[in-house]
Amino acid sequence: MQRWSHRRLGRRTLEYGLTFLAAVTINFLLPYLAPGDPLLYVIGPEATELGPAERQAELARYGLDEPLHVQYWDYLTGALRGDLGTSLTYGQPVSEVLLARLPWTLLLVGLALLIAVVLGVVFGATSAWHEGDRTDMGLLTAIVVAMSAPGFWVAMLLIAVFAAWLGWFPSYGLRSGTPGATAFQSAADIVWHLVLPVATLTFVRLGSIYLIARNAVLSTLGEDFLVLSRAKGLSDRAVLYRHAVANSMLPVYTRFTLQVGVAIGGAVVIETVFAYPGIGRVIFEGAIDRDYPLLQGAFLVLTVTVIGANLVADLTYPFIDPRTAADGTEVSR
Amino acid sequence: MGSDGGDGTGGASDDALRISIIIDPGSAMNPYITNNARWDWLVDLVHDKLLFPSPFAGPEPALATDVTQVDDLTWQATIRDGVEWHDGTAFSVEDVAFSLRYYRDGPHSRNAHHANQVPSFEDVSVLDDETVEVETSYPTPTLAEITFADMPVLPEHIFSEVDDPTNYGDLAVGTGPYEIVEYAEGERLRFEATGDWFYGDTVVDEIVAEIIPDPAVTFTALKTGEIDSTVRPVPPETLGDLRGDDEIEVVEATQLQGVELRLNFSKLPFREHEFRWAVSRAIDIQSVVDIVMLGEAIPGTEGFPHPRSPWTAPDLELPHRPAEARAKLDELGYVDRDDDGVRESEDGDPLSFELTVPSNEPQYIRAGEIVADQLGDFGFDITVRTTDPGTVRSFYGRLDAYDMYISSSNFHLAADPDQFLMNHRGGPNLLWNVSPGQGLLGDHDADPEDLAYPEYERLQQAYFDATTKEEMLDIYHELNRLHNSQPVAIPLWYPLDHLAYRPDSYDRWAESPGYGIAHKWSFTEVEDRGDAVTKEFY
Repeated sequence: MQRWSHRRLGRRTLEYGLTFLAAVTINFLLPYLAPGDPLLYVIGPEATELGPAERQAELARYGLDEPLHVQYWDYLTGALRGDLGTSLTYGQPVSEVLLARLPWTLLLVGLALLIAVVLGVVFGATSAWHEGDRTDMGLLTAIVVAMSAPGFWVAMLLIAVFAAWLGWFPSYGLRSGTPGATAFQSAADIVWHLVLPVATLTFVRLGSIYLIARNAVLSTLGEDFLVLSRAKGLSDRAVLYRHAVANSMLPVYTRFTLQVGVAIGGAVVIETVFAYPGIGRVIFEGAIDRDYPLLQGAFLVLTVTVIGANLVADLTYPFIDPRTAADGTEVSR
Repeated sequence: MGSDGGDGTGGASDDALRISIIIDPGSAMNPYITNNARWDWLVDLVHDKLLFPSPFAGPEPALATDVTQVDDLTWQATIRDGVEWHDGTAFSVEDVAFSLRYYRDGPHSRNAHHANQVPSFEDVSVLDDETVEVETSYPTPTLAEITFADMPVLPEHIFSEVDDPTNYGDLAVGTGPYEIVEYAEGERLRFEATGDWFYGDTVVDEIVAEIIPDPAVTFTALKTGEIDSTVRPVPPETLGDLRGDDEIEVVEATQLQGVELRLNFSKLPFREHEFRWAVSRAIDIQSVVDIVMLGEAIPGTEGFPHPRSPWTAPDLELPHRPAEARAKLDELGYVDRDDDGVRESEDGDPLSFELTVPSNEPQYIRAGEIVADQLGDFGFDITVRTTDPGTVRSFYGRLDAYDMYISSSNFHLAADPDQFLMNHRGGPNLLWNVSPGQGLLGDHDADPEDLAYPEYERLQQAYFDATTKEEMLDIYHELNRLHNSQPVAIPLWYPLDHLAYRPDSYDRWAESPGYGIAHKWSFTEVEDRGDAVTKEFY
């Protein structure tokens, strides 16, 4: 187990706590910072049709007639209890709407990131091992071109080829929901629907992982311990994957943890194109309908995810590379 | 998560009719949440009104078998006997009275202003087991044809028990031909025929509304057979492809939608009636339609509101008059005083404006560029700004936020007289705030007194005083003409609404104005449809 110094743990907790508080505060202030009547952002354009009495009733209903600091405290304590308000679009608690969608986004993003990391590391290590030759140049060119393609374009291309032309995969949705399907058939149906969106997201995310892996492995390949490994007579594969790649993982891991947070928000386009019912779609529809409570909740989820991913990265670095315990903390495994 | 209480995996059978919709309606057909007119056809699968089908066709007897006007202010509706709600509870005259009162007095909804403003219910009373009486605040000769054909009747035994209908998420209970059996958020809604609809027999047993936001994916899914039809009109650039597909039929059926250039009437110089006349006559609307819509639309030169609405004045026009427009701008004192190609007012303010367009509508963006170019030839300096659609929608209540913008209106916003009147009162809404001090005016820079519109107010009062439909229509047509003589909403085009379906899956589609082809009468036996439909496609 890793042992953190109390001072470092306390400092980190305080930093992330303050970041979270800042994010929650900005989220709370959004309707007030935006021009116009805050009620517009809470109940929508119909706020303009209310008479004075109706308006006062709506203000009271949402607590908007309270002083700002009281509203802020209510919002803060509500957020900590998981009460993020009520969605205008769905008429349900925002937390319920988001919780229903989050697993599907995690499934999509998780699968895509996992595949992107595996492929990115394999391609990156292969490129580095063959630095400067045709394999390296071919991979580098292909992946840089691929990572330049916008996600929606890749999605449309895959749909045109694999859904419309070949008919191998569905063009939209999470599942077809065949009546009487067994649990296995339902799971297989979801996987079948996931192929194109996962492939698109993998395609979009692959490039950066590949480049980081390639550079990290390249810088490791010149290290003395690899010369020693070769001198011991280890196979190329063992030298590359057991020693070079294993010692190059820190930047890839950093990238991965950051992408976990960012990718949830970044799935907006993919989820919208594929009509996939995740958090990204909620953000898209919330923006279209100006459903501020829902957007605020979704942003909070994204913020927590990004902060959480950073925290996980921060806490686990010393396991991957003990040198990162920079304050002299002992790290044992 | 599905409102069926399950995990949303309850699926549709293979022979269900799958129709794609564009955006999640947000509820299992609760009219207090699913309250945008774009979902009316879905709500109407489950719910019925007193009269059918809408303010734009019929009226056919529905939950009311007869509606009569007793005097200028009093109407009586005879309620259909033997109808049951989907949960087996008997439908009664009390449900009707409850609904009308609830819309008037209850939480705010899309139907509230049709009960407490235009028109306005003074009193709703139950006379006997089959008769409900409505007394209005002013003569409303179209109460039956418009109001009663617009408001779904709610089950009293459910809504009287609900604290806040805007948060009520259970599967809706109605009297309509279809019962909603599943709502999987973000995925689909599933409806099953009840088999005992009072109006007629349904010929489609199961309807699935698939939520597909992306237009390209929608039409790909139609071509692959994953869906059988869509409420999304076929864009002009896709028409040729779909028309050439043997498995797909494309028909024309109006959804009574329009695309307009809206001018901020609270700001100078758009506040000046004659200035707006000059702007509307400077734009070559036909060329916008030819370029952007490839000619596949009704040009806005036919005026505002929608020219195919049965209520609209038949002689409206918004002609291109470039010479007169230039002369009018000169006459109003807007001339280029510093030879920079841009006209200035007498105070030296240049005619420099921002024209905002939603980023998700490429046709609007192109139209904005063309309008900016055209007005540039008249000495305007127009900057086209693209922004998110939510911001553009928020302009509805934000008079401080824009100069000009391009947006669309659906049938509810622009095709019936009551809503036309509603759009001129009560707030910073689409067309005007007719009466200074009346209701909220939102954020703007104008002195409310500057927004006085006596000509309009006079006609509006006459509208409220009219005791016969003919008299009211004459006044409404006057209002239409007044609007087109100084429009705050310049219509650019009215989509011809090419709608596509796979005839192998289902081919008994029919048009009901405002709904296009997707509505419950399309799924009803042909001989039972009556005047609810205006065109058949088989």
